[in-house]
Amino acid sequence: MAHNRVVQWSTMSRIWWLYDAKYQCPFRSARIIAGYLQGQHKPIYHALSDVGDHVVVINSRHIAMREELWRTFTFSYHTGYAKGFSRTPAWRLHSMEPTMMIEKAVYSNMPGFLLRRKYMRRLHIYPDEEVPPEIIGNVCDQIQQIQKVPKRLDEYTAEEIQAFPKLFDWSEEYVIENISADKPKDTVKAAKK
Amino acid sequence: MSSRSLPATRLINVGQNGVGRYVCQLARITLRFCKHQASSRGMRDFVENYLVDFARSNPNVVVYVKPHRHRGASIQADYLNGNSHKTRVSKMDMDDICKWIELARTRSGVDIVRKTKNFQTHSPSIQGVWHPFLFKDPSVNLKTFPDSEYGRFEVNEVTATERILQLAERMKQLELEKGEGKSEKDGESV
Amino acid sequence: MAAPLLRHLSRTNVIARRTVLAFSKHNNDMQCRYLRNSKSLPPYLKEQVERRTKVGPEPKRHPSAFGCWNYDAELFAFGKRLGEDFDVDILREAFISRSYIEMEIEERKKVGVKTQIPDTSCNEELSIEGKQLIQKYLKAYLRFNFPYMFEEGICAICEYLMTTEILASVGKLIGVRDLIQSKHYPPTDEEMVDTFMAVVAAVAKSQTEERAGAFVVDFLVPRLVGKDINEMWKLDNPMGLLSAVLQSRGMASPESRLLWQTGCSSIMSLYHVGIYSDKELIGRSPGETLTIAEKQAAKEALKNLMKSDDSRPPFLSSSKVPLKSLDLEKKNPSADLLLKLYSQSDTSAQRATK
Repeated sequence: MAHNRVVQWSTMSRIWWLYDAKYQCPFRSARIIAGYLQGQHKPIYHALSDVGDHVVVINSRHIAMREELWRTFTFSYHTGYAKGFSRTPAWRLHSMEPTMMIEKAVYSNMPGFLLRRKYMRRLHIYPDEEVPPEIIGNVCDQIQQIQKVPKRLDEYTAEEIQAFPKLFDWSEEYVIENISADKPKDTVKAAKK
Repeated sequence: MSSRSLPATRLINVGQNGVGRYVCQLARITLRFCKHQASSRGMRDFVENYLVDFARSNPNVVVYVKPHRHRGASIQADYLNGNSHKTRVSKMDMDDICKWIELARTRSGVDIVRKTKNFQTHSPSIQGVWHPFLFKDPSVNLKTFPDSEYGRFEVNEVTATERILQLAERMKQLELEKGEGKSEKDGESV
Repeated sequence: MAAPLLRHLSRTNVIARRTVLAFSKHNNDMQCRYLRNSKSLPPYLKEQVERRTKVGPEPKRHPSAFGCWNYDAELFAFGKRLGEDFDVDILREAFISRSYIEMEIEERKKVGVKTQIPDTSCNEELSIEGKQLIQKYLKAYLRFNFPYMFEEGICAICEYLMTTEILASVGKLIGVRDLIQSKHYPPTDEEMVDTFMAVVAAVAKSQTEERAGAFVVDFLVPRLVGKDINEMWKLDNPMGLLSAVLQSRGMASPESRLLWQTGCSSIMSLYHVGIYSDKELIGRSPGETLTIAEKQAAKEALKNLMKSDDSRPPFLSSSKVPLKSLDLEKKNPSADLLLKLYSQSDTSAQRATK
């Protein structure tokens, strides 16, 4: 039954996925990543059997949050002793440890039973694009991102900015703060507003 | 006792019986009864009315009839796999005894225990079992990861920026069609 | 171990129940008075269990030991059970084992009876005859079922079906166990095998050889259900054989290609290897390493070429095989011969290039 052995090995094997977290919402990404870690994308999935895959997350430093969440979203912690309560805003936590936001979000997106720690060990988070070759060598597929990566203004060429349709002109007495020497940039900013 | 503490097996077909040739697994049946007691009345009726027919229609089963004085009636079925099952049938009427004997005849002789499943197959999948690369596009193999194009979120709707660009393009087209030749100073404005 | 122990316990339960009955108020038996003291009851039961364990389980006894036994009726039922018409004398001979004859001679010596039992009356000759019949018809059936399979594969499947365990279990389930005349009960596996083979020969002698062939197919081939028939033949170098087969069929030599891989630097690595000939996929298989995957893929390709892959149709029943018109001597192509031919042509080709 040597062939049956390898067939079973193939069915039950864990494959390695890559996820690019650049400009992605950590909370919505975490829901997707948690599904892959638990193996919910497989037809052989069962809640009690450990059939999850590995996920390598890159660019965790460059995640994006909407509105004022960097300031208003807080992580709270209690040491267990009196006056041990602490509350850290997301921006602070992220500046201290750029992989922590994704990790916490994924952890909280999984059911709280004993397999959770095992699943978390199969999550590999890297703050930037640099991943050790022994990790990136394992990867065989990539998870689709959940939102569009916006193109930043400095990524546009001067011609593109010039060619962009102008919606309206500012009145002459309108004062624009932080006006820079680059005139075309300001016009685009104004257009977007 | 809960079902968990009791032994359980899968569904067993003894020696793939019936795949080639069916062999009735009941080897011999011993009917014990008393000739006088009222409790053996049903068995006596069975012996009188049905036993010969049973033996004639099942020549593969050896029937032993054994009168026991002042004992309850019983049926002992011996199976080919070495098991034997005894059923006490005293105070039963003839019809019930017929049913018990029919049960003994049609059984395989395997112990009656809880079954984990009510079905059993030796070839679970003919077309092959699932594996992680099934239905995966082979072009994924040629990519080097991270591949920003492959992992990109695909927007089905038109974004606001794209909408503006489209509108501007359309206006340009319209202006060209009008053939007004000379454009205003700020021709691109909407 | 569990089964005899359980039996002991149930036995002691019976004893205990009887003892408890003896304590009941209505019983004035003086012999049991000392047991009325509840303190002395547990040690008593314990002693019962210990004694029972020391004695061990009851030896298995032949059904005739329980009073109900008619050998002629059982022989008749045996024939009817299998749906065969036996010559009773031949069948009787098929059930007499060598150990029974030896035991009989010894007993007669002890008693002082001088009549001799003929040494040929046991089933040895019949079993030899039956063995040849089984091999002949099994192989013919398998060749008919797998016309593209190599002779070595056919022989390996036949060998598997001829093992002592399989034959003894088949014999047991058609009911030869109680009918064997042997020194011991239950009879040894070897005796069961010999008797089963002798029964096959008895079918052939009572009726025809084809009937015996159908009997063999009906009772032995179902034992292959759920078994991997391709793994019975131990192939050391599947790739070598595959290239020989492809060359003999005029196809291009096999090329193995890596289809998928993941987790290469972890212990749970997975590789999918496909084997191509003339840019056509002829077999693919997963594996933990590249070597294993390639070897398994070559085996898969061979399976596909031999038409014994997992999606093959089920085994034919004996009624659908023309056992009468089968050529029993015809053999399938031999893998060894093919390999030799291939290596010869290979070396000659090398010489030509030099």
